Amino acid sequence: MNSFKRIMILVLIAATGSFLFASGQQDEGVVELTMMINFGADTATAVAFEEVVNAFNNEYDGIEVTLIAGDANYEALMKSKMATNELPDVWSTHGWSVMRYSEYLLPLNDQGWGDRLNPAIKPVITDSNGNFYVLPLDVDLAGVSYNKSVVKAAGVDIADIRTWDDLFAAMKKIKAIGVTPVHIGGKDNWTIGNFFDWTAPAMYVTDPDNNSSDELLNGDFDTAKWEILAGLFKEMNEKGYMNVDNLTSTFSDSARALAEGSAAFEFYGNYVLTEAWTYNPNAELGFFPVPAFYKSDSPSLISGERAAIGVWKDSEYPEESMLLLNYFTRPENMTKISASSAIPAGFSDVESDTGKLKDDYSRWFGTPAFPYFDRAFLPSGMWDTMCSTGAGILSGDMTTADAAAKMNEDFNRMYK
Amino acid sequence: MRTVNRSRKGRVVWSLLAVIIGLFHFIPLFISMNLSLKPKTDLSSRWMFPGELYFENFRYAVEKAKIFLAMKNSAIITIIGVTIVVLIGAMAAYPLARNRSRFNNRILQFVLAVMMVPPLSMLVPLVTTMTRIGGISTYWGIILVLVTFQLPISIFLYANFIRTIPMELDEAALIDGCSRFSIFFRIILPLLKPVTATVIILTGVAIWNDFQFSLFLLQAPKMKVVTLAVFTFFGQSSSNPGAAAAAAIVAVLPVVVLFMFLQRYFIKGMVDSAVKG
Repeated sequence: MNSFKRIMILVLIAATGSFLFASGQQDEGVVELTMMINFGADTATAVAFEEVVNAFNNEYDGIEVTLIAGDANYEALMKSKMATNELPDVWSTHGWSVMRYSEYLLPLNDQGWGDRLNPAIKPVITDSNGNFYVLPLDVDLAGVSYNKSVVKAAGVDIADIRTWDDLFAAMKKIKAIGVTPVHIGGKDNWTIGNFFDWTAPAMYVTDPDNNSSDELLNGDFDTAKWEILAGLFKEMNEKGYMNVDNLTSTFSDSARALAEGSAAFEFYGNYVLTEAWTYNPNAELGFFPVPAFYKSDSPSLISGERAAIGVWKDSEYPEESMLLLNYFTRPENMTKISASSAIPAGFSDVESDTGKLKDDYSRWFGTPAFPYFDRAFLPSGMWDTMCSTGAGILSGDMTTADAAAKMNEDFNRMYK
Repeated sequence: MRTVNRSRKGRVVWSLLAVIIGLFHFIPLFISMNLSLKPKTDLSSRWMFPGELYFENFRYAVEKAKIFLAMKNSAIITIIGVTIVVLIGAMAAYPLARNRSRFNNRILQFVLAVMMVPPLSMLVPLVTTMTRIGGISTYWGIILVLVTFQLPISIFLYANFIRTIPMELDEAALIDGCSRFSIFFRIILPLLKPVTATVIILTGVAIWNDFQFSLFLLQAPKMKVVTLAVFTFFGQSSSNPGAAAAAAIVAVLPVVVLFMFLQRYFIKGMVDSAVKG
């Protein structure tokens, strides 16, 4: 018993010590900044960020930046930080610089690089007053990702896929050679929302003759169009053009299927290609513009933020944080970050190594690009509805009419 | 003769059943081991042994996830946390069990009621409070929170156990001139070993495995615990299950070894507390 008691007392003393020790640590005279990014620690992008931050720490003696790499819970973590109004000095906004984070970020219009922004990203990060709050290091310019070998084996020519009818014809040919035409990783239900983000622009905004963008922005949601869109999704599933485990597989499974050649098309950003190459570096992969829905329309690309960073407006060290942010505008740093995802840089005058996708980028150069649908045309909060109604269609719990009605209901509720 | 045969047959059946259950429990470990020894480019089934052993995942686990640092952090938090839960739990339970006034019963019921509250439901106020008092990314901050949520179960178990210890022991000690504190420390505490084993296992496992509170309260990379270190390899648009499996295996090994050495104490403790409690 005596030894039992002694151990307990020792541990208690240690506990008290750690209380005092942990709360008393801080180097005098050094400004400590925290930077959070939404890229996992072992991803190429996080490694690139780490290199830039280390170089910054070496260059500026009085500033010490701690880089915190995110994981799958990044969004939840940021939500809790917003709720507590305790945000990091600098963080990446994963596509939400305007809708969600703008009220927490410093406007960056006066930083002197506004006119260098890539035209494909500028409208995406600019709010209705013309302010922008993030430095986009790259542009997530993407379309439908595909496996070139599979498509070739099925006798499909990507140049022929201009409308949804063409896409359905291609999917039929691909299914005939025993490959899953479209892979969805619905256990990560954002992958379902992403499908609609990719396809809704063709239904609502890309065709000048059928453009509903003003109605959407003025709070009028066209339910009938959504029902047609949900119908395409349902039809793909019913015709066996999707993986059978579309509700239980994950995004990683999608990447792997694309890499293995067991799936042909996927509706994700080009990050799925970089992830697929980690499974099979020799896979022949690429992307093509999202097909048009209306005969009078032409295919289009999707553009959005990928690595974009902003400064917290209540940061204790706004000057140092801004110094860090602007450090990333140096061409060599921006190139490093954008090349890590093989996508174009955020500034027009900065080169990025798009690596294996170079040919695809030059092939589709000039194709009109539209922002992620929910970020530009739907009120904040609709993303979850898009994901859950899509999952409802796949599971058979919802008809396309139910899904469209739910979208309309939530649209009207959240628009107010 | 026939009885002997039958009992032997019975034993064989039970042993077989035990082997099957054992194998079943071994499956996750088996798949993790396979995964951890294969590169990401190896697309063979996860049930297959790796063709050649690949140890890069373990290097990743050590360098990227800093798994050893995470294990140190987890160990510090768990040891201190469990000790505080045991001490405060037992000390709080003693008067509640011995002095069974209506007020004390109400307190005990309140403690039970607190156990029913889902901890994550108070996440936002909790994170706000912890931020204000400077408890984010500190040992004391996470220990304070975890101990708070583990105390009710510990008080409940100790109170029930102490009620089974005869009052006469306390009375005899009082007559011999012991104070209330010395009765607790000299007489009662030594008798609590069996239930203490249960409390250590329950709270120790809960604290070691805690993910949600650690995720929100431990944000500095140097403060990562084991669960967060393993999760490092799961991002939204990328994941590395092989490295995650390697990190998990490294993290689990010392606990498994510890359990193998101490299992007879744990099991004895659990059985004793079940019988007496």
